[in-house]
Amino acid sequence: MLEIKNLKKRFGNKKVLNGINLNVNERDIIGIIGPSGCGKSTLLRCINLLEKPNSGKIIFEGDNLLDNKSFTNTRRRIGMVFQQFNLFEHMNVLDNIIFAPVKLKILKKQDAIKIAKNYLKDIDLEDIANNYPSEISGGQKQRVAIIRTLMMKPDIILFDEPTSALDPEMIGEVTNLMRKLAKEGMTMIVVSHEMNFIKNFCTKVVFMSDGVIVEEGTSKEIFESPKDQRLKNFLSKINSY
Amino acid sequence: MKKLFIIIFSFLLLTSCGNKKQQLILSTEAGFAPYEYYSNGEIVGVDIDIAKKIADYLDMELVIKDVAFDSIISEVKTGKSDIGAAGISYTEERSKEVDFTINYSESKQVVIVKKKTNIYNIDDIKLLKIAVQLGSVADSYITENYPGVDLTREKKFLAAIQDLKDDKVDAVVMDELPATKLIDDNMRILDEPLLVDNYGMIVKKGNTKLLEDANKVINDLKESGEIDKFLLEHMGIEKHKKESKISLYDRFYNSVIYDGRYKYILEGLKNTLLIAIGAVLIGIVLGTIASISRNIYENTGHLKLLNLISKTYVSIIRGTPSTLQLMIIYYVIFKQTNINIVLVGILAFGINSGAYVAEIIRAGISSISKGQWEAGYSLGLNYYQVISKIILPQAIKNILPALGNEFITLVKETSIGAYIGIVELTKASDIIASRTYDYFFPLILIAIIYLIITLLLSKLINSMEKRLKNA
Repeated sequence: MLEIKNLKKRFGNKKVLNGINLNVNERDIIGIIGPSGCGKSTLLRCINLLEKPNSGKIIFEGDNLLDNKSFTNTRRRIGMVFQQFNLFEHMNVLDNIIFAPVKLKILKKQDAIKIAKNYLKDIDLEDIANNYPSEISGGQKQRVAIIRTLMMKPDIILFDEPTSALDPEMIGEVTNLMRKLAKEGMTMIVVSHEMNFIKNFCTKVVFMSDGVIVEEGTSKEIFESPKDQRLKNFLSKINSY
Repeated sequence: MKKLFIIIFSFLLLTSCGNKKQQLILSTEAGFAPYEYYSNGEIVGVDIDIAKKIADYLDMELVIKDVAFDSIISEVKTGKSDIGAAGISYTEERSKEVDFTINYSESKQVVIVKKKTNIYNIDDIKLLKIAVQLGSVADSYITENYPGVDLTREKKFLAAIQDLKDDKVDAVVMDELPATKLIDDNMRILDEPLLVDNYGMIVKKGNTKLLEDANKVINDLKESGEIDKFLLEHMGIEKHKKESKISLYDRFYNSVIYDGRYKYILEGLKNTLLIAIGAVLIGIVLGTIASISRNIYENTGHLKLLNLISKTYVSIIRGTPSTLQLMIIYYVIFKQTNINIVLVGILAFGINSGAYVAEIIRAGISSISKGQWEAGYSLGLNYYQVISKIILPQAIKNILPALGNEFITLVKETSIGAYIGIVELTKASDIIASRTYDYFFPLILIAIIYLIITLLLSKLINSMEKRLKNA
């Protein structure tokens, strides 16, 4: 459903993405790993057009996204979850969740509230529907952010280090919700440093270094029989913790 | 059809003449008794009496404008006023700018010193410290003829007298008439005048019709002895009470209650509030337009021209003194029009404030983290939905303290409105002091009023902040 071809992105003179090729099929759960600064977050941001690539193609359901002038329609179909949650600070949890679908006239307000409350109930968060982001925990914020994305009924969700800003005891509640989505068949691309999660969760793992994809395969292939020296170094550093 | 047109036209012409006399606009600086000063809320004096006679002669209605002495010539030059009179002495330099009538009053410039000093002759002043009124005859005469004098130029001759009282200067040079009213027991006037000169009224160069008519009226008044009568009348109205001998209560009574003087404060308060509130509204509108158009341009590339205008507007306003902006708007932009002066103040202060509000809003927008924009975009919202529903509501919370500060500054800034003759609080206190020769109560009183206004304002903003925080 999503095909990335020879994608390049520069910040000034610095080449951050240097020719990325990646195929994403429906129900794929792709984990992107790699040392910091390798360009994995930039890749996600390019897919959602928060960064404009310098060249290459992003073909989503047959259309090259970079040819479209209006990003807003494709963005509705590609959800994004941020490291820093980015909940709207001036809205309570319920308003955060229903704001975009109601504003964009995808759902009527009453329907949106009903759906939102069901989602919240599923993960035992119905009590905080009227709380403001500043009043809830990081784990709760990130789960609300995921529900906010789900309300748009996206075809694919991009997770940009969704657990990196969380206290350790809260990581589980977020990854559990992600597992639940995976079981329901959601297509996802996940950038994360949670190697256990990537190992057990992803259908395909991609290792990036210096703006290119060095190695890709099943999580077994990547974690148990790495071929490239850079991947080996990376894994040994992580395991030494 | 043509006939009908002519009938309607002449009807309009007739009614406009019949209902209203044409106006003769006189500009002066009230604060120079007995020639022009405030009494019971009105500007009166010898100059005013003469101007009234001229207006009567021309069958016009006299309108008096109280402006700064320095501004009177430009008022007349630009045609904003028809005639100027404020004890203006004839000088060659001034006569290049405007035409003078025949002189209506002879004035002596005298030297006032402390009684105890040993200065007795005019020649003794050569190396003294001397205070004069800025732009007065004494100012230009001493500058030209006494290069050794250490000259202090005060905006008001009252301040010059105060300088002498405080021993900041050795002598004051001013017209004899006010001098005799102003000196107290510790001062004396040198026997020999420094200079004898003549007061005339001024009209726009080339306005010979008005000049001739005014000359005729002045000549008649002089011959019939009426000008001398005016002088005596106005000098007898109020004997200057000597400050040292009256009680604090008397000074308060004189400054605030006697002759309805609190009315000036009320009028000043009204105008200060009108200007501040009007300017705040204009400032918010202009500031929002300027800052948002810039943000739209930076994010979408639309509104290129408006962005350019906004940027220029902000840099010009922030880069020039507000007094200058006020004067340019009044004397240059509204040069030929008879626009209400308070309205000019509202516009000028509003335009000034708008530039600062624009920068405050801009700072407020950048204080919101990039993540808020990206979260909005990633949900498929467009720029306008994100800025209006997500960024601005949060930015307003952050900028409220800075905005409140700007409005408090604005209230205080309105005091420079006096430059173009707006009777706001500061000018009101000036008017009272020009009658009582006592600055203490007028100044303290308006300081308290400013303080009350700004305290109330910051309270209001505090409670708004709290409400927004809870919202």
